[in-house]
Amino acid sequence: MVPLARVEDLARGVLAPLVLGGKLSLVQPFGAKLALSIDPGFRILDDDTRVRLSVARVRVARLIAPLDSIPEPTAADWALVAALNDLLQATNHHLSGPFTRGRHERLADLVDEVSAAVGPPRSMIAAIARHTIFARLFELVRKDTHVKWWTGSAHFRGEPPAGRLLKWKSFRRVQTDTNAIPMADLVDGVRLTKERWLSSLALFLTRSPLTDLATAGRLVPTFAWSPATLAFVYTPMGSRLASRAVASTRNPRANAALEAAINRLPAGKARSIALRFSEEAAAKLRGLKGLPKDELKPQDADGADAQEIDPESITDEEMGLPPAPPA
Amino acid sequence: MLERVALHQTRLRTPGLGLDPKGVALGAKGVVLLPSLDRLVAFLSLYTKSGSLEDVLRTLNVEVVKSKLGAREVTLTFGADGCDRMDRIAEIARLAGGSTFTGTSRHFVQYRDAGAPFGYDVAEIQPGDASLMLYHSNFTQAYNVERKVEVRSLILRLEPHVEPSTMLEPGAKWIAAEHGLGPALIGYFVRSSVEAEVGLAEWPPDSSFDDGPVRRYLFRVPEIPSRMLPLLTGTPGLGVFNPVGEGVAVELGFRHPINLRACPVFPAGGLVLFRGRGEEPLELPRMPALGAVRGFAKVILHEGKTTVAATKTGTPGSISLPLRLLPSMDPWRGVTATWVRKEEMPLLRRIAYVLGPETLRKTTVAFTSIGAFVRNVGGIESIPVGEFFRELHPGLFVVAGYDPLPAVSPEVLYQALGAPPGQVLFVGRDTKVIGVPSAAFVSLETALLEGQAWAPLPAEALEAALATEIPELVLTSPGLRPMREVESAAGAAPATPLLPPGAPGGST
Repeated sequence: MVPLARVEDLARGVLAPLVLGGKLSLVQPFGAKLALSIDPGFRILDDDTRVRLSVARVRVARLIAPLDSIPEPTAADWALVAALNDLLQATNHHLSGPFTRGRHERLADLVDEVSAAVGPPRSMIAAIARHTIFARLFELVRKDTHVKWWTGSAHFRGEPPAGRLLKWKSFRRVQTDTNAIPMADLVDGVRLTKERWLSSLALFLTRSPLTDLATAGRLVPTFAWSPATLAFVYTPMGSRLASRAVASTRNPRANAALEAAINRLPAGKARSIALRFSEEAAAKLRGLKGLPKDELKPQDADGADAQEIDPESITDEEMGLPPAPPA
Repeated sequence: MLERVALHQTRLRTPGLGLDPKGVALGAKGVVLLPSLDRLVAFLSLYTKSGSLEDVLRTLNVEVVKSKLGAREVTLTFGADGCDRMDRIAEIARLAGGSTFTGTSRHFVQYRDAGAPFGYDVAEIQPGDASLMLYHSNFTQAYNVERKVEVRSLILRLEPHVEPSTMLEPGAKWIAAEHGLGPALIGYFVRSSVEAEVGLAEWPPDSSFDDGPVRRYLFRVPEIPSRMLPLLTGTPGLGVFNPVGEGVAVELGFRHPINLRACPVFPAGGLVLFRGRGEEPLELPRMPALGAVRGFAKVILHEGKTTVAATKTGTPGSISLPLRLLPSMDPWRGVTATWVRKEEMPLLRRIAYVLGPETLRKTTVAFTSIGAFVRNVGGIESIPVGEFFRELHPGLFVVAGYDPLPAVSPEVLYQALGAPPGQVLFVGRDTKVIGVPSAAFVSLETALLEGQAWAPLPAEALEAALATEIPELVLTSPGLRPMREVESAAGAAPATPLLPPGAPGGST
């Protein structure tokens, strides 16, 4: 069992900033074993943080469904938060030394292991709850600072520059250049290939299909249909929620990204599901034209079951995907 | 011996001593007893520093008195015009080393002090035929008047002491020049274009051996250029005097021990010039006739032998004259504008607070780099600040109290000034014409109020509450052994059934 203090640190350092915004301070890597053994009954001790998290998550959920409350994070959600911590730690240049460069690769492997172990959400409300945690994943940035003075320069990845370097600015002709590094480029600068890290991120995203669909317009990792996302949009309710999530981002590239992903699917059941959703999402993006007028009722969201189609019933061959990584 | 006057005491033994409304023992006169003439000068100097001697001068009598023991002292007798004056004189006398008494004719008792707030009364009147009997808490002394001292002659005998700071005092000056230096000084002033008036004063000869009266030139210069001061003060035979009061002046670089402005003992129609270096003051009982030094400018006359007569008529030469302004004795009429200079702007601001709404509405103002020009067609008297102008012609103002010369009609004058459209012209005392665009005149009520600071209330309070910061990843060192607890889950089943059924690698 994971010590509660570590999970509390995870909640305070990663979960709260991810939902509420602010400085996201990574905690010590968890690994797959610890991430998957977090107590399912864990509850954030700080009442203020818990309430603020709840309010913020409801606010995200209300963009797509008229909900008044969101369930507390489950053990699977905590495992995914821990996996995200490890995924971001894999971009930390402080993680390894000259002889431990393999740590980044190992952490990426363990994140894949957690993502594979944690399945897609089992209900609509679980999907929405998970989406409220990771909805702002692609808003995450890292601020890199490049300090240049008259005899040299220094680069600081995600950390403030040393105070001594900023003294006597005019005399030493100190120039400070701060850049916000987006999520897709976080891995630059460590001994881990970008493709490897992005593949772990893509797999991680499939565990929250609403987030995956809502951020379909992202540049990298390119959106691709997965059994989880197809299963989610297969139901009318899931399709409606997902199209609202896509529309809520107001990303003009979302429609093109969805169609490009459809083109990569072989003809068949998966493609037809994806096509139907793509049309609905496109209509939503064009200004909600052609949509039925009946609105989603709260009880619909609570009671709807997303398992009308089993994600496992769509084979990898039908998806045009390579075989799943070994567990 | 003296007795203290008690509160509500009604009878006093000293003849001529009564109780004033406050209950203080007070006679009709006051006497200050000073040990010497030095102390008298000190007393006068101290008194004139803080107030004028004019109020006591009419009744002031300074005498040298002699006691029966032969000691000579000085007394000042004056009308005791109430406690306030007596208190002030008593304080100054105490500072000058003298004592103050009060009484009416011969018997004077010590004036009140801190020990007896209601004054003193004598226990027993001393008999005697002395002209002055003074009763003090320490002594009782009889005095006879030896001689009288004139304040005027005393002041004339006092020698000014050196005070270099007076060299820098601005303002008009008197210059007394010996007879031989006068013409040269006149020529100097004429050449240097210094405005001055000159007169010739005469003094009786010092002795019967002198040929005639002593003559000196007397100059009155409104403002001596500073470059001339070293020459004028350093030349023997010339004396520059600073007027310090009505009819009295002290040489530059010296100051009289007594504040002469507070001693109106010299007649206003005359002039007394106090000289330093131990020289006698120059006294003129009557001012000589003064004339402008320009009247002594060199005159050149043409021979006038050939007078050329005009043989034919042609275009006459220009006879245009520059515009001049002459002070007018006529009552002011049509004063509808004022020029408020920059240094007077704070006063205009203060006055604006008390102006009525009708005045504010009808008054217009134009702000320029040299001040504000304020106009009110109903009369500018309600804004008593600045230099007043009267409207001679629509768009043409002349400073109030002056008439333009030559006395052409306002229309002609306006045309002569170019009659600029859209300009309001102001002719100042120095005949300089200032043009202010008429469009620059705005209503005073709109120009008065400053831009008021106001605090905007955030209207987007709901959005601000809902707005969240951007999540920012901060990278720090994960510790010495960051991977010590990192393990794969392979082979170790989780403690609780977390994963959905059928998930790859998940539990059931």
